[in-house]
Amino acid sequence: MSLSHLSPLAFAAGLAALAGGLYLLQRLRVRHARVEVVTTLFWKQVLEDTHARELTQRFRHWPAWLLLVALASALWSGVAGLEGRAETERRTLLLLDQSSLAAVGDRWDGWTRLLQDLHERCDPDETTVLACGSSARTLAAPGEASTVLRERLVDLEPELTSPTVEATLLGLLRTKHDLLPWEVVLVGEAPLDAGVVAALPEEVRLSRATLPTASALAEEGLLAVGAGHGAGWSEASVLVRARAVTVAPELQLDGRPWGTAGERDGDTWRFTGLPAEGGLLEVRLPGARPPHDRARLVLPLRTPVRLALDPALEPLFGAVLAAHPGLRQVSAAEAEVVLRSAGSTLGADLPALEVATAAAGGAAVELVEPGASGAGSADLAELLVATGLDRLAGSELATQVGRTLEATLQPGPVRTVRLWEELIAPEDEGLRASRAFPLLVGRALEWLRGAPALIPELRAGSSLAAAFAPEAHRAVAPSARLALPAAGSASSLAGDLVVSAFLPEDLAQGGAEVAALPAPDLDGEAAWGLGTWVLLLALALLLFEERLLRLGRMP
Amino acid sequence: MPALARTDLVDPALFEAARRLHLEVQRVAPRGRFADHRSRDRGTGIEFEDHRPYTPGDDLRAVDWNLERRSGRLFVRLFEQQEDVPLYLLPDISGSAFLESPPRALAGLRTTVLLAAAALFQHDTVGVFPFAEDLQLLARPAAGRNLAVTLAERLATLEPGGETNLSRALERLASMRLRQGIVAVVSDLFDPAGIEAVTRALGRLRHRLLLVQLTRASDAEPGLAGDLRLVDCESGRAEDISITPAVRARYREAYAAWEGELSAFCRRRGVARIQVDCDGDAVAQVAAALRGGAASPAPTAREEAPA
Repeated sequence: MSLSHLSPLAFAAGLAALAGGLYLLQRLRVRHARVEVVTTLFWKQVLEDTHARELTQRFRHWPAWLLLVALASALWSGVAGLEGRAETERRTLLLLDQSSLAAVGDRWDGWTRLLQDLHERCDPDETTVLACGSSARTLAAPGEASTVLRERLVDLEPELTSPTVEATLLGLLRTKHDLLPWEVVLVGEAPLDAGVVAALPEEVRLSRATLPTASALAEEGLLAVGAGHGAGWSEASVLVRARAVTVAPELQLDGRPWGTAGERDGDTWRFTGLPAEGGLLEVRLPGARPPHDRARLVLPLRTPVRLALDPALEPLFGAVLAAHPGLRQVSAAEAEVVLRSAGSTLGADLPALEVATAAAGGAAVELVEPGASGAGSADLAELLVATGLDRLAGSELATQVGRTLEATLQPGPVRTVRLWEELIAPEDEGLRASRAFPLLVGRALEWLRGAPALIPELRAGSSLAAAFAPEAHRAVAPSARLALPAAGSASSLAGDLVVSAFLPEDLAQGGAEVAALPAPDLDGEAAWGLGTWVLLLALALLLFEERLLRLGRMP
Repeated sequence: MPALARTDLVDPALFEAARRLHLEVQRVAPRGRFADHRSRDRGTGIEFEDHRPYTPGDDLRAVDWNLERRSGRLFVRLFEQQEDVPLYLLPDISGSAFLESPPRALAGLRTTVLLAAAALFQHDTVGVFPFAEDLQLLARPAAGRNLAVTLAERLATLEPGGETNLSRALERLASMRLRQGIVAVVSDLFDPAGIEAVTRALGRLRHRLLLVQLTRASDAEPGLAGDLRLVDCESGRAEDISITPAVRARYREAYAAWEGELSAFCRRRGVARIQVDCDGDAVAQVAAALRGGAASPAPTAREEAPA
């Protein structure tokens, strides 16, 4: 129950004033009709108990007063616009799902029409309309008319992003909590986690406007596409997850169909043996409707690293290099990376893995990165992971070497990894004896070459800044979950295109319980709302009072 | 400017009704005029009543010589004396008698004329003493059949008086030391002093009493409701009151108590009481009451055949 014209405080104050006024009126001397009688002899005898109302006399007409207060309350409620639903003070927030879910078929037009209709039914002074795409955008601020909203919707298109309604709502609750209460209406099919809905403040009333058409979530569509290293050095594997599919997804690599069928496990297909050559893979789902019918992804680039080896280091690294399928020893002129002793001029301008003695005075592990700040421990940690140096058993090696091990990151013209020879030299102990040594060498050489980082999984909805920052070409941890900012097309600044379009993975995995929301009720019970009934009650009370007056039961 | 016209008070039907009435009292006070009522006096009438021993000074013409011859003693013969009964009429001319429509005064003064005419037609003396705040003398006690019209004319000239003070009027009447007779009070009896004061004053009178109570249905059940300022027509005093059913019930209780007090007094004192509905024909009601003995024990009336 709410009031559309008055605040509850103003309503209560008015009601109290009415009750007080009626009380005073009851106590005030009434204007009596003059009647001349032959004698007041008998009236005087009854006057002792039935004196006419005087200003200071005992209040004796409680039933009449209560009836009048009830009557006045009913009328006052009518003035206050008593309603049986949302309070006028409750701000209305219309959240339009601008994600790819809204783009299925011709639903977008339906959603925008529904949004306009809802906005017209709301009080524009208390209504805010937000489009929840890759970022929240205000379509209509409080006070803006529906015509403004209509014009802004003309050029608005759904974005190929996963639903961001939940994030937008939570963000608003964090930043605009003082503006509660809200009547939040979701326009679209963006799912809300049931836990999130349950945790909303009581001042937030949530509802969802829906279209009569079938849910987009019930349609076929790609959910996720991911690529990873294959069994071989130059192979990649692709994982495709889809929903409600009846046929297997089709792959095209650089525009040519990839004929090998994938292995299906439920709604997931695994394709193996794809060349890890950085080719553009396109996954199509026959029968699905755009934009969920295709996704594109750049496969890992796993070309062999051309390496020039300082002969002096052959004893230390020969076996490891020979065993690595991704390395090819070439001359210094052809090399991309050199492996040399400190002080050697072999491939002086190329990225190098250098072996130095501890006596030279440097740190046990020195990383040189163009543009490195040198002091960023976070960057260093990332680089240690990228180069595999994190696999070093630091304390054990320190014990063996008898010195404190230290890793540093320095800026320099080219990438360089410098290690103490004392860490590597002992054949039966130290780093060379570690099973991580081949991984360390391989990672370090790949990092030195600057190969594109492996993107093991793409997931729409979070930032790809780390992957596509201008200073890219940084190593990315294999465990990192990189994601496109929006489902659809995206490319790195370096031009190594990464494209994907898919629905949010969570929807398919069903990990979160999606909250069922009621339909919005912005109109209340319209014509026969509570206010109407209250006015009818006032009329009935009025008739009742008139009847009592006629019967002489009202003073 | 009189409140009523003579024609309002007198009409042939009234005199005809008066002629057919004969007021009777069981005992008449002595030393009255010769009239139709048997007196306690023994005098010169024609109806023998008794003997008594002769005493010096008795009229020798009254000595029964036959009895003296038989008994050897002197007795005088006594005859029934017929005398008149004075009727003192006290019509109420207070403000309340002239308020409503038709005014109670119309019924009251017609009743007064009726009683006066009936008494005059049987050779009684009639005195008229209108009252309001005090007693007035409109007509000294006098007899004469033709006096009825004169009385009616005088009654028609009466102006509305002020506040009812029946107690004072009765005291004033008592102080006149009039010959014992019938006092007929024609009034609504709404004395602001209360019924106790009225009955007390009536009780002090040494006359036979006839109360002609001028009533209306609204006296017992006023059709009033709501917030009213009740103005006493005589005193002008106002009373603000919210009349509800409960208040009306209390009014009825008060009126019933007042009536009960009056009835009790009448029973106790043997006072004749006639209640006249002022909305009806007062003459007919009074005549019927007198003929039917409703006003008994005294006086009563017997109806004579029309001439």
